[in-house]
Amino acid sequence: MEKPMDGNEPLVDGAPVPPEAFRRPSVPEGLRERVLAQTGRIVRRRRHTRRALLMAAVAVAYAGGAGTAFWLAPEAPETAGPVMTAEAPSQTPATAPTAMEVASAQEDAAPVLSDEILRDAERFTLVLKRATPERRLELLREAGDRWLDNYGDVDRAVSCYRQFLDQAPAGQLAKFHPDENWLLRSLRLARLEEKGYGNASI
Amino acid sequence: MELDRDEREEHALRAAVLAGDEEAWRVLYDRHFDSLYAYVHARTRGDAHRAEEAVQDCWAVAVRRIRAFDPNAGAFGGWLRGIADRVLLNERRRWARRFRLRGEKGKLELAEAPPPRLERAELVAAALTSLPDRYQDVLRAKYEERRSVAQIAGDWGTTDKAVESMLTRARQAFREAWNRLDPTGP
Repeated sequence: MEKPMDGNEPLVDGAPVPPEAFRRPSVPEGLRERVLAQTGRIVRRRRHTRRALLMAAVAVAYAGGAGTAFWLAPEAPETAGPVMTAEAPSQTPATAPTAMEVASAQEDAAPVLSDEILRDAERFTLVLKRATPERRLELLREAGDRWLDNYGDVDRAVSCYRQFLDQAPAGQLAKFHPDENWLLRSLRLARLEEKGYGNASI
Repeated sequence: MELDRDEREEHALRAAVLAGDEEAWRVLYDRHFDSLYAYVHARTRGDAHRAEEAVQDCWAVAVRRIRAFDPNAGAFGGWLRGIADRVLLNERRRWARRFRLRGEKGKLELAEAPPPRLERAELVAAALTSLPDRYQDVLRAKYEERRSVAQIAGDWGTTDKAVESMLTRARQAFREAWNRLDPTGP
């Protein structure tokens, strides 16, 4: 293995490297935008075709499932008798909540996901456990977005998005949102392919 | 490790582009446009017109054939440069076919013009721009900006040893690239 070079070792043997060798050429005006527009059209066309095929596959699968469920559904039995209601909770002497309980209650009711909670795995897990299923999905989606957009942490973003997709109901899984980023969209499509909704290839 | 993370990210970007995500394509495009242009510019001996055409062709091929890009086999930048090499080779062949010799018996004989030999500065530029971005960065910092190993380490928030090791690998990669472009050696 070549030993680490010292500070004076030249890049090439012989005459010194002329400065123009390192010069970064300036890109002709408009070239970057022109090529991006040309290539972007091809990517868009691919998306439209893929989406059309995917929606067709989902529609067929849904129709098949709905038809089967209708055919197999048993007749509703006739019932009689009193309707059961939940018992009223027994009254207990009121006690002052602890600071942790207050913080937890605030987290449960918190309309936004603070950075403090996001970056503390234990607290975030606790918040998720206490949230309703709908709120849990919102939190996971938001956490993924924040990890990617604010911190550039792809690994954590992928982890949050995967949990989001694991818990999303089937109908929500196939629903694309216009404001989704590239990472969530690709994971969502991969999940749909796994479930057999997106076998078409471009 | 940073390399694994880059690889995972390129996997995700590739999948997203195949799914038709323009934003993902834009991420790849913005990251690699300048370095690809610099590479092609060096390989065309600074001919801006030829470089412009070749770069357009490269990106058109890349977006159509991105399914063939395998992040396990190498970085997206290296794959792009491979496309550029083929585009430039085809372009040279097209130019060479314009030079024809007519033999004594009236037969048309095709003469391929040999590829023009690059001058030293052009060779350095071509070899440099063929390297991964992080190797280019450390070589530019050392040989263009003339920063010391300690200064580079300070700027990058790493150790002197890490920078020395990176410089060694970058220099080795540079020599290999040089030899591919000019087998007579630097």
